[in-house]
Amino acid sequence: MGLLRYTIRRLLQLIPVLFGIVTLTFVMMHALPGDPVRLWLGTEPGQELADELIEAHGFDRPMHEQYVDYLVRLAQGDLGHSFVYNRPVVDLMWERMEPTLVVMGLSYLVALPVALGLGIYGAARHNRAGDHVSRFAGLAGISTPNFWLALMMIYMFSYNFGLLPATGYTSPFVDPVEAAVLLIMPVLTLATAQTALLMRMTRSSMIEEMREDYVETARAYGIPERKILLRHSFRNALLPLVTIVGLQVSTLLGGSVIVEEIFAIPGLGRLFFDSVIEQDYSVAVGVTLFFSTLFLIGVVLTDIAYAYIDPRIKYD
Amino acid sequence: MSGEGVPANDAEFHDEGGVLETLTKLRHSPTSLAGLLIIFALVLMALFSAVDNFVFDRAIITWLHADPHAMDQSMRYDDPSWEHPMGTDRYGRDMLSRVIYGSRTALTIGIVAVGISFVGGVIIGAVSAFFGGYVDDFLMRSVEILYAIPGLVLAIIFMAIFGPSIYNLFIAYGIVGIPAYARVMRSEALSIRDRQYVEAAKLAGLPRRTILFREIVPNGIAPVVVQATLSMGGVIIGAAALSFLGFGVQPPTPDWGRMLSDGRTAMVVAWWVAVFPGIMIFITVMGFNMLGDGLRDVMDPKMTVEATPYDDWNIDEWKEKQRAATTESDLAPDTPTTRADGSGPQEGDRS
Repeated sequence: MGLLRYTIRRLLQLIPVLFGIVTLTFVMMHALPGDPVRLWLGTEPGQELADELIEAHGFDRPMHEQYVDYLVRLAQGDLGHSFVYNRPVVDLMWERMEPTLVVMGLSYLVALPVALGLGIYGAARHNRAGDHVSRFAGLAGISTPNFWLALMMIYMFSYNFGLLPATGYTSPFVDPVEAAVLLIMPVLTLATAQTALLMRMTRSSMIEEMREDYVETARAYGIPERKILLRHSFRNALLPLVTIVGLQVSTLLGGSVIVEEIFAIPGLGRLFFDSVIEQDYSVAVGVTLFFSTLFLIGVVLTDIAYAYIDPRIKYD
Repeated sequence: MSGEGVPANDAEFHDEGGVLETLTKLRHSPTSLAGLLIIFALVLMALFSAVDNFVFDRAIITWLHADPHAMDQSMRYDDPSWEHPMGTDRYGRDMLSRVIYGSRTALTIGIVAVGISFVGGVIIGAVSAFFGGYVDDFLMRSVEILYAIPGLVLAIIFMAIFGPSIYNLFIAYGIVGIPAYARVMRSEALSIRDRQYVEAAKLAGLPRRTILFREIVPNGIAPVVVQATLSMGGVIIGAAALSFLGFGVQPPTPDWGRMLSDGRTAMVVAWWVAVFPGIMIFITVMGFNMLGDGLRDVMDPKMTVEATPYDDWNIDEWKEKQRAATTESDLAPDTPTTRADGSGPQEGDRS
C-alpha cells in the first residue's frame, strides 16, 4: 500500500463531501431572500427586460433543471453571474484573491515561528515562571476577540500615535514598503489567536514528548538537554501540529471576513460580506464554495504530508 | 425509556469522573478555579439582569445605577465619570448598566448555542458510531460538509436566510458547532461500542435505543462536556463577531458585539464605547477557557479534545497523536494525575 495509492484514495474521498457542499450552496442560493432581477433592473423592472433576464439565466425553469444546470456550469468553472457588478463571479473572485492569500500567508509566517518558539520554551521551562507566563499569554491570546483587537490597534496606532494608516491595501508586489505598513495590523489581528492556539499545542505536545522513554535514555547518555529538546522531542512533537496548521485554514478564512471588513482590504472575505449585504448571492455562494474547497484541499494536503512524514502511519 | 432494563451493577459503568470528584480535583488547578470564579460572577450578573429585566422592568438597576435603555441626548458620548464609570454611548445611555445587561445576552447565546451543538453532536456521533456502515458514512460526510464551511461564513449565510435575531443566532451557532461534538462523541462511542457491558446489554435484549442512550452516551460524555466548556468561549466570540457585523443581536437589546460595532464608528470621539464591552468579552471567554483547560486535565487526561481527526482513516493512531497534542499538563507537580504513570491503569478504570 503505497503513498500514492493513499493520496489517490484520500482525494477520492473528497468527492462526496464536495458534492454535498455544492448541493448545499445551491440550496443556499435559492433560500436566500432577494431577487436578482430587481437587483439588476431596479425595483420596478420593465416586464420585457425582466422576462429576458429570467429567460437568459433560466430562473423560471424547474428546480431540478436549474440544479443540473448549476452542476454543469460548475464543472466548466463557471460560478455564475454577479448582478451587482454585472460580471462573472469567477473574474471578481480572481481579482480579490491576492489580498486574502497575502494576509493569510503572512499571518502563518508570523504565527508559526513565534508559536513554535514559545511552545518549546514553555515545555523546556515546564511548571516554572516562564512557562506560567507563556501559558497565560496563550490563554489570553485565544480569548481575545479578533475584531476587538483590530479596533484597539487602530485606536492606538492610527488615532493616538498616528503611526499606521487605519485602513487600505496595497499589493506587496507593487509597493512592498507601503504594503508592509498597511499589512501590520491586519496580519497581527489574524495571527494572534492562531499563534496562541499553535503555541498551546506545541507546548503540550512537547511536554508529552519529553516524558517518553527515549528522552530518559538520551539524558542517560549525557546528551545535552537543548539537543534532546530540539533534535529529538521537537521532531516528534511536530507531527500533531501539522494537522492543526491545516485545520486553521478554516478559522483564518472566516477571520478574513472580519479583518478585511475592518481594515477595508479588497479581498475575498470583504467580497463575501459585501455581496451578502447587497444580496448579490451568486457571489456570496461562490466565495463560500471556494473557501470550503480551499479548506478541504488544505486538510487533504496535511493528511498526505502527515502520512509522508510519519512512517508509522498505516495507509488504510 | 424505562429504567428497568438497566443492569443491576450499573453504578460500576458510570463515569468515574463524576461531578463531585471532578470538582474536588479542580482545587489543585488555580487557573480553573479562577475561571470558575469568573464564570460564577458572570452568571450572577446575567441572572440579575434577567430577573431585573423581566420581573422588575429594570427597576433595580435604575435604582442602583442607571437604566440601560434610557436615552438622554444631552449626555451623548459623555466621558467616564463617577456618574457614568464607563461613559455613555451615542444615545446617552449609561455604558456600565448596558455592559452588565450584555452579560445576559452573551451567556444566553453561549449556553443555548452550545446546548444545541451538544445535543445534536451527541446524537449524531453516538448514532453514527453505534450503527456504523452506511449510517456512519452518511452522517459523517454530512458533518464534514458542515465543517468545511468556515463557521463565520456559514453563520452569516444562515442569518441572511432567516433574518437577524437572537433566536436565529442561537440556531446558527448551534449548527456551526455540531461537527466538533459529533466527532468527539463518535470516537468515544466507537471505543465503548465493543465493551463487555454493551455486549451484555445486547444479550439481555435491551432495545437499541436504550443501549445507545443509557450505556454508550453516558459513558462517553465526559470529553464532550470538556469540549463544550472549551468551545463556549469560541461561540461567545463568534456570536459577538456576528452582532458586530450587524447580523446578530438587534438593538435595543444590550449586546457586547453590537456595542463594539457602535464603538467602532465612534472610536475617535469616544474610546470607552469600544473598550469596555471588548474587555468583558475577553474576561468571559478567558473564564471559560481557564475552566475548560483545567477540566480537560482533570476529567480525563487521555482524551481527544480540540482537533479531532478530520478523516478517520486510522482512528487509533490519531487518538494517540491527538492525546499528545491536546493534553495540557498544567497541574501542579503534586497533583494526583495518572498520566505520568502511563496509560495502563486508566484503561482499566474507564471500562
